[in-house]
Amino acid sequence: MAPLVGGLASLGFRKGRQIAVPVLATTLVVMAASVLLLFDMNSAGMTEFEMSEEGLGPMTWAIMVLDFALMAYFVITGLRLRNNLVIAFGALQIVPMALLEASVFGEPVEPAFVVDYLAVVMALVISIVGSIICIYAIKYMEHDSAQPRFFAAMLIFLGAMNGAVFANNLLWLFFFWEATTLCSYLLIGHERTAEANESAVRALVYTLGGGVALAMGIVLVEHYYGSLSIAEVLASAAGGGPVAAVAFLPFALMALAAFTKSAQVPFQSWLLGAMVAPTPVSALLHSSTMVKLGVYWLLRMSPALGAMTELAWSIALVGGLSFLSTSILAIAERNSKRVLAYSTIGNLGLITMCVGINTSLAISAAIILLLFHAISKALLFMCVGVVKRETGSLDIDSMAGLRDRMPFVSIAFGIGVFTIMLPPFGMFASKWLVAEASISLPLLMFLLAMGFAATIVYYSKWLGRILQAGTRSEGPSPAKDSLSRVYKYTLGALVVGAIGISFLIKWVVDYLVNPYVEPTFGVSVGGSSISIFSTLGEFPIVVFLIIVGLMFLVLGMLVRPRQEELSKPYLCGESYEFETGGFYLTNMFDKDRVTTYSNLVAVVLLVVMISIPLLLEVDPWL
Amino acid sequence: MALNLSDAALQVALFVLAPIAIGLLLGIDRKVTARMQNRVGPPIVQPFYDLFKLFAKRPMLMNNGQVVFAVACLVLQAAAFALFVAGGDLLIVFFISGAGSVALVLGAFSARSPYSYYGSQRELMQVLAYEPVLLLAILLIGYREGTLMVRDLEVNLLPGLALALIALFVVLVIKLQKSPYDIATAHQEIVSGPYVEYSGPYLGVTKLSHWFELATLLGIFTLFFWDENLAVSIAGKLAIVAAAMFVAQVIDNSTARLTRERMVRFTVTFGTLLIALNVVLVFLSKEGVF
Repeated sequence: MAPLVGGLASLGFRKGRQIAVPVLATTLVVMAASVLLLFDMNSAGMTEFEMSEEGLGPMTWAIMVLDFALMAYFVITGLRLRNNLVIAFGALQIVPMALLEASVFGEPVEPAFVVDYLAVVMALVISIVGSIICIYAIKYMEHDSAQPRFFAAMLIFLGAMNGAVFANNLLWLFFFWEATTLCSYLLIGHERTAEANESAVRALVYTLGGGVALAMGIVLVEHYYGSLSIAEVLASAAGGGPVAAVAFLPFALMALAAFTKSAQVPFQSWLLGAMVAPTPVSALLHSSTMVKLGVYWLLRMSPALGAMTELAWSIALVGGLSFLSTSILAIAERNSKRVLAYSTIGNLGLITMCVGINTSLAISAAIILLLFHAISKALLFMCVGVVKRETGSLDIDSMAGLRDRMPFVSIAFGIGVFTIMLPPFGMFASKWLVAEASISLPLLMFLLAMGFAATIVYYSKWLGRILQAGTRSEGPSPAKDSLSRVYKYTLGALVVGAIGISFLIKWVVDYLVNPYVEPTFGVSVGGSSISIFSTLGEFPIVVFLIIVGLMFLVLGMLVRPRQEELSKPYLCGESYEFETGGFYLTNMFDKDRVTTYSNLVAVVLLVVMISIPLLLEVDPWL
Repeated sequence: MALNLSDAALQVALFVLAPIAIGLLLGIDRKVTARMQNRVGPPIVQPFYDLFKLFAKRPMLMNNGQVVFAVACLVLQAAAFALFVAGGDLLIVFFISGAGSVALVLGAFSARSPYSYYGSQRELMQVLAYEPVLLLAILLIGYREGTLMVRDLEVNLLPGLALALIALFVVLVIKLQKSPYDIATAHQEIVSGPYVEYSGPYLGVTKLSHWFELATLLGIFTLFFWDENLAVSIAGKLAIVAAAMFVAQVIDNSTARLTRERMVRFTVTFGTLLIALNVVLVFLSKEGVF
């Protein structure tokens, strides 16, 4: 595990013209380490793997010092930008953290790192998907003037994410959490244009605000539970630990922090603004890092939420609302990266919703969704990035007929869309489980149903644009596409991953999902060689995968219309060139109004979420 | 789970016979419609004549994408229906059939043609209108019965879920491509929408997949009635289908096409409200209020 954090940082900083070498080496080490970790845990039959703080002595110091340096940096940045909010949020973090450090100083938190299967899933996603994006970025950023800065931030990002998911000490989690804030700030503002700076600052304000909530939450955790060990606090909150008292408030605050990180409504605007960043950054933020940290943290807290019904319901509703509103907004959006951003917020909303539902089925669904979403979303972003590089446009309408111009990317994109929304792929399996899980809280069914349909609409019409082709007997061959090899391999790897892991879903469920879900919630999802089962139904996923796979392969090869079989489009006898506009349904729903209303509802939900536990806590003092 | 041989034979028979029944149903539909309009109408087996003729024609197409997705649509719709007949998970049946609709849309998009393009955009609007209602109805069945496996749904759903059945009826009107919601195919307006660039055997393929799609939907309708006595059970199921089809014909012949905005607004609000009401009723009866 040491190479995960240490190796990354040192290699990332190495400056040189040949930036590709250290980046490639680091990513390989990280990938290997995460896979080894999985095999280690599996062969030893462990469900959990702990690492003591002893022997890590200097690290405790280092993290504390760096943590304060980081917060000081945020305040200084705020001063430099003359942004009062940044200064205020930075200061609001330093004060409680300093008080807390002063009171708990010298008391080690045991164990320092806890690695369970949730952390392993996250580590695999971060390390493998994140690394593939970094390799892709080597090509994508080859003409950039500030490559060392860029790649240092990318790699430290991966290191900080790994640190955050393994940490058991809340203070360490806080440090890594803030480190990801810093990295995202640097990466979003990488291009240093006015727009990039503005978006970076906005992201900083939102996520720093979340950091304040997290800091307050941690201080209150220490106050109520008398411990900073995540494992201990969760056990106490769930009713099995040394402290019997249950306090909602710290969890409500930490959930709030997670919402800002995962860009749930009403905090979605920073992620939409972040789309000005270079595409590899978007891919990284959306698939394997940053936003995933928020939902990871919610999943981590999920065992404690069983005792806090009001809080769990608020979380579920915020998630459901995020899914519904962003799915509708995505229909009206013509910028491809923003569509993907909405889709990310929506899928994270589903995960959030599952945490709120807090049943075995829901949590299993959430973990599966997190895994498959990372692969497919990275693939889609990388495809859009290639299109941007080659055609210079992010507009969906300008992608009409891309199938003829860029066959390889179009096929990769098509597979990305299929795996993200259609059966029989892994992502779909999780959506099926989400739908079944929603049955235990019927109100959520209504948010889901409309959101699913809207998802189908915005992805289908986009893919349809790309597919548009005129009369021809044979399309260009994807194999002979003149695309760079780096692009082909990285896109190809994710295509293989997205489809391959769908085949392996039984093992994903048995070895990655159930070991985490079982101790707290019991098992509700299982796999046989051809199906996966839930408590409510069954999905013969492998059968369908084979049918669909064969169908597209065989048809794709066989259908080659002969010249005399070709027809021209029907134009009612006219012969002019026609131009079709996109359907963005702006007459059906006004984007600004949808945004305003959903933000309004979300704010009300958040106020309820925070104020109920606050009142519960204040009452005894009266 | 040992699969009973006669069960398997029955399932295969159902799988083969159901599309034929749908073909006949559509034939009767045309006949009844004609009579409502004081015409004689075509023979009841006319849909089969049409289908066979289409398959005998010379293939014409614009590019391979169209055909790949048309066949994908057929395979997915047939697979959804097969899973339904085999007693599988209703939610999966719904999603696979939905994927079939997406395949049809993508096939229509694949041809660069304005009518086809608008047709498929409109088809997506129809998806936006009926999918939520259909999904909610299915989830409601799961909420009430605690299972989504078709083979385990041996209970009379009608008394408890009557409102959901009414909501599903709107879905049927859209899927039958009938007024006021024949938005996508809209004859005299955008020719036949997503189907306009298909001809000959490929058009036949899309027709056949539509039959399977209807078979799945009407299959869901039949789930609402069940009785200990097999004959009563079958009679009841057929009665639901017949009633639904007849009302659809009356509506078709007495209304004009509405805009797509009105379709989405009406189906989503009307369907959602009915189902919400039904959820409340089911909740109350679960709590023992009545």
